[in-house]
Amino acid sequence: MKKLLVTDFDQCTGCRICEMVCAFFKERLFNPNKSRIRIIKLEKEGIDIPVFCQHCEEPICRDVCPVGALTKGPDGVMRLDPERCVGCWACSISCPYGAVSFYEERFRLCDLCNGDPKCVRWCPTGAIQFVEDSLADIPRRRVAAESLAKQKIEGRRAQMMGSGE
Amino acid sequence: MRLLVVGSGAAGHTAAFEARKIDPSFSITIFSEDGLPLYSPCLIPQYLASHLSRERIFLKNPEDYSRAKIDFIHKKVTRIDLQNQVIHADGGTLPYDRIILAIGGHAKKPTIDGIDKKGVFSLKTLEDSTKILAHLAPQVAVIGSGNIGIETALALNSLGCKVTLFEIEATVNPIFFPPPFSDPIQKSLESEGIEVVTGVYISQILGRTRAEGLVDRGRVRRFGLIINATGIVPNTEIARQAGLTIGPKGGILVDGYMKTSNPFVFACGDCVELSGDEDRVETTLGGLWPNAIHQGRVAGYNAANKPKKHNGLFNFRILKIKDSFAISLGWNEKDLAMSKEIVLKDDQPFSGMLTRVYFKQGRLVAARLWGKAWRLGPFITCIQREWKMNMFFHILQNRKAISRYPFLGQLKFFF
Amino acid sequence: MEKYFGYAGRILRVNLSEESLEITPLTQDLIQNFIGGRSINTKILYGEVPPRIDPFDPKNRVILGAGPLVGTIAPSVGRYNATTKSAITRIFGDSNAGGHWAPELKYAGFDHLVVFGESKQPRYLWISNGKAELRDASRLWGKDTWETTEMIQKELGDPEIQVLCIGPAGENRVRYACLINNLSRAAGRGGTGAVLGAKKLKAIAVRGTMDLRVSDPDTFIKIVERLFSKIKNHPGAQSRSIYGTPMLTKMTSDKGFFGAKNFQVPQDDLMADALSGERFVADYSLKNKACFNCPIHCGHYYAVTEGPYKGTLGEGIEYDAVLDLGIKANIGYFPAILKMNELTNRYGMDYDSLGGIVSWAMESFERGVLSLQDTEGLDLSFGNYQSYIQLIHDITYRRGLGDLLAEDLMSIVKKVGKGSEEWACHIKGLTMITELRMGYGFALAHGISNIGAHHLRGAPMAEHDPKRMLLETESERLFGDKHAQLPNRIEGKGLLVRWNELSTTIADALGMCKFATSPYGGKDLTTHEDLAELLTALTGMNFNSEDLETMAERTISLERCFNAREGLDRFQDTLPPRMLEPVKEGPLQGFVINQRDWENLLDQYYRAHNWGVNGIPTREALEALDLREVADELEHLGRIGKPYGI
Repeated sequence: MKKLLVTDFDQCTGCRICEMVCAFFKERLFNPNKSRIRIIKLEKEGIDIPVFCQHCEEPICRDVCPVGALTKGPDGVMRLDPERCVGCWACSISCPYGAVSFYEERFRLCDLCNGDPKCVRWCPTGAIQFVEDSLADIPRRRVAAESLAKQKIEGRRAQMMGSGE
Repeated sequence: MRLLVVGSGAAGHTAAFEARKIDPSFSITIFSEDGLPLYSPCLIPQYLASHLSRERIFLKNPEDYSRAKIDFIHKKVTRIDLQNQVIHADGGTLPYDRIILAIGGHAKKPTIDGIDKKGVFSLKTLEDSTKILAHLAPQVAVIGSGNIGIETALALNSLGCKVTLFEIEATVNPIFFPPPFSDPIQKSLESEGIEVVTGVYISQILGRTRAEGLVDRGRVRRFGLIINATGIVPNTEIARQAGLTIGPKGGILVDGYMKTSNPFVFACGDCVELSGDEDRVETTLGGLWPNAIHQGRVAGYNAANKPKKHNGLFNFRILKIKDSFAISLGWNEKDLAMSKEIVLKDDQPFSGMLTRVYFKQGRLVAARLWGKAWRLGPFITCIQREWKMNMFFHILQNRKAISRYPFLGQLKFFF
Repeated sequence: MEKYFGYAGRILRVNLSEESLEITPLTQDLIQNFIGGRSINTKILYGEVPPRIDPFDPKNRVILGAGPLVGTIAPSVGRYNATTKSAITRIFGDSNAGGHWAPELKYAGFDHLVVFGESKQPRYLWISNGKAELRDASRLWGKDTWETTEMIQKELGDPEIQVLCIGPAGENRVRYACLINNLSRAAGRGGTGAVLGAKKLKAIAVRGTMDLRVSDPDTFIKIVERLFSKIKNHPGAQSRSIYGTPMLTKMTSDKGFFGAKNFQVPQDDLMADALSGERFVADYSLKNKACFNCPIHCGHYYAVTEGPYKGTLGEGIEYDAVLDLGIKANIGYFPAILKMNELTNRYGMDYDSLGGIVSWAMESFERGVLSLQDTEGLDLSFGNYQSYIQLIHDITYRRGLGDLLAEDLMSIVKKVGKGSEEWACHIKGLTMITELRMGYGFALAHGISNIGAHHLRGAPMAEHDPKRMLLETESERLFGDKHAQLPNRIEGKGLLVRWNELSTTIADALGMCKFATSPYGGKDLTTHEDLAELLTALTGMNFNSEDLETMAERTISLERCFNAREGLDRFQDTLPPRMLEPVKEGPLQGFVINQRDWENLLDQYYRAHNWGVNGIPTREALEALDLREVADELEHLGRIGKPYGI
């Protein structure tokens, strides 16, 4: 049974606890830049977007890597081997989510913490969930349901877009 | 089922190993002209510059082949007999059920008098780099300022050679980095000590027994080593001979399933040309590792009777000069110039960063960037999907939409 | 430079007059005696700012400090303190803010910044990974804080740069201009923005990617897990995490200390409902927002979708904004308040001082003390939010009446006269935020606060929220009275206020938000013992809760001495005239603090600190805190504490 990380962006408060615990449990220090999950904060727009590896079925990063440093295990989990990596940036540039991050001479990629993702455990709002892949589209189902109730919601959102500086 | 893979580059290897994953019972053979296990040609400039050891660039070793029960044969395939479904390789023949041609490309030979002299090298294979290392000279000329030319110039520069980079067009790397992007590229190269000469047609390479110099704007200049980096063309000899259809750009013509004009022959990698709809101008893309991998996988699947369509050409190039990146996504300048209704939008989102996006008929088809390599995946995705221009900018203003497309938020930093 | 755990180990000294920067080490001595954050700030300020100078004098310092917990994985540790000689009160000034700026300073390798001198041209400071430089800010001068943040990020090429800056209010030396970081987080009170404006330092931009290390990671994370769990199970913290601080609006009206119309109306159910936390969340909030590493996420991002202020977007809103931009001015229209929140954030202005002054002006207008001529035609009746908004623009740019109202309330009242000091609600020059007549402890804490009227320098939150009370046995042990926490009980208040002072000081020294600590939840949130354990596991140095409390006592006493040097003593620990009148109506009708009670409360408080009857620390007290030189200095100035019983 394959499990995936999914997020609900409206629940993300931008607190970055996930960044802190990821870096801490992986490297025993405090430095959110060394986290494998990053929060893109657009403060003026009030948007906080968690970015992490989606462990794609057909990973682009694996195909662009010229040294085979990125592999997908039988458990479906992507792993980046820092020994093989030559630092060419191709994976970081080509990932649609920007999930491969780079700090201090090293690229980092989420490996789902061997099945017990810390970010999920520590997120105070449940903005990140670790769910079975068949359930992973629940947030998207909700989005579809919202668009069925289009009229009322679209009206209010159109007003929200007004300022858009 | 007997599957023969002709060519031992990224495309050929991926095709063979993917086919093996699909069916352990197939008989799979790779024919390799140079006899070397899979290595990464992308890394050759770094190997040349001694930044990487030889071991680091090989991606497969002999155990991998025996474990996967793939025969690796060091022989050159000379003829394909489509009628009898048999191939000829030096000294023998072998019947096949399916063939995958992954015969790659070779360096283009520009029309320069003396281009065939000894001491003129191209940098495409590991062998090439070995030869170059044996012929290092204090003064080196690199002809052609595309990505290979620039990477080679930087590699040789870091080995201590005095490098002069020649480009026939008015600015460096004109196919992927038009002005204003060519400015920071040229400045970076010059700050590394490389002499950049643009707008120059080299008419002659001089030397009696070997290349000793060339004629630059009427002057004779001495160079002990000359690199030809003027581009790659697909290898198509055995395909042509066999009667397979060759496309207008000179590559083996294949459809979305990497199938050639013969139903039992597939092709992938630098040797192919995709038959596309007229909107997709770019149909050949030499020298891109991810396309070789992807096409190899697709060819492997289809040759193993598991239908798979390819996802389109994966089209980005990274050029790293010191700590800055020049990145080109989507169509190149030549194809953009040939196409109508191209609209572009420039921006300088941060100091030291330049961006440009191109739209055709309102759809995003290309982008150029200079500066940091700051998580550009979202850009590439938008180009792959050819997003509509008005939607692109409209969504960047819309809070809810940005959360619906999680990678969009990052694009906000570029506009 | 010594390598620490938890601390970055560096202090950056910025000499704006000579445009020179110097990195000095964070010493063991400072750490042992003052630990970090606000306390080290205070120590440096006391030592470097001579008494009786003007706050705009180049010799004044602005000291920014991020405590040892900042940037670690402990809950709610995104805070910094800004300490200076206040532009508005001309005495000790200190303010605190959250957001994400402070951790970045630690990751960039600095614990404290000491800014002094005065630049000839506008400058901004750029700090990254152990290095710093002053850059030209002439393009930024005149821009608001949101524009400044974006322009700096674009100029330096990184959207992850954290920017702390001043807006036009600071540039124009509005007395209550503030520092803004992350667009909406303010080190608000005291006019620090004006001091930086006088120094022509527009912004401090930071980007850091260095590690912070921890001495005993296993113990540290265990304590952190326990604290996260405490927060999760605490009803007060959970309520705040849904509604934010506006959850207080309804409660203050129900209990009868609403404060509407410049503290004239103690109860107004309709307005309270219109401005309640529930209404805010239902009609305006789009989602929750949090400061660094905080599971309480009491912030919101709001949008106004209809009416004249449609399109107003931003982060907020705090209860004290609802109070100062709304209730006190008798404005019950949320969209206008949200708009004013945005304006004050952009302009870099403390809306608490603004509210205290504007509501005074509105009462003055209604009483005829300020005429239409004085206001240049602006109708300053209570409830007129359009006028209020106009005033915000005018004050920022010092136009018309705005020029007068950009000063501190004490000076304004002196100029206007006509008995208007009767309804000028400030203590030592800083306006009160909330109504004080709801608990003796609450009033006492505001009266004695070293920065002027403020609720975070000892005000016992337990007085109005039984959920936060300590047990009666604890109360007996700590405050000498089982019922000391009850609002109308006088006994034990001195010790109660002192304990709350210590608690908030400890939180500020370590860098944790007070919403996660004991004044806001008693034993069920982070206690002094928890903090001592955390600090020990983090730094590898041994701290217990007594050490923290002693350090806090030392800090508060030093603040007191700073003010003593400026000429303050018991006589300035007063309440404004309105606060000495009985409450007119509502559940607290009749509550009054008479002069005798007040003196009693002061005496309790001074004794609790072992200070003199004149409200200044005695020599004995100072020597017990290793502050002998301070005692010598005060004695020399004739400003030392006079012990009781002599």
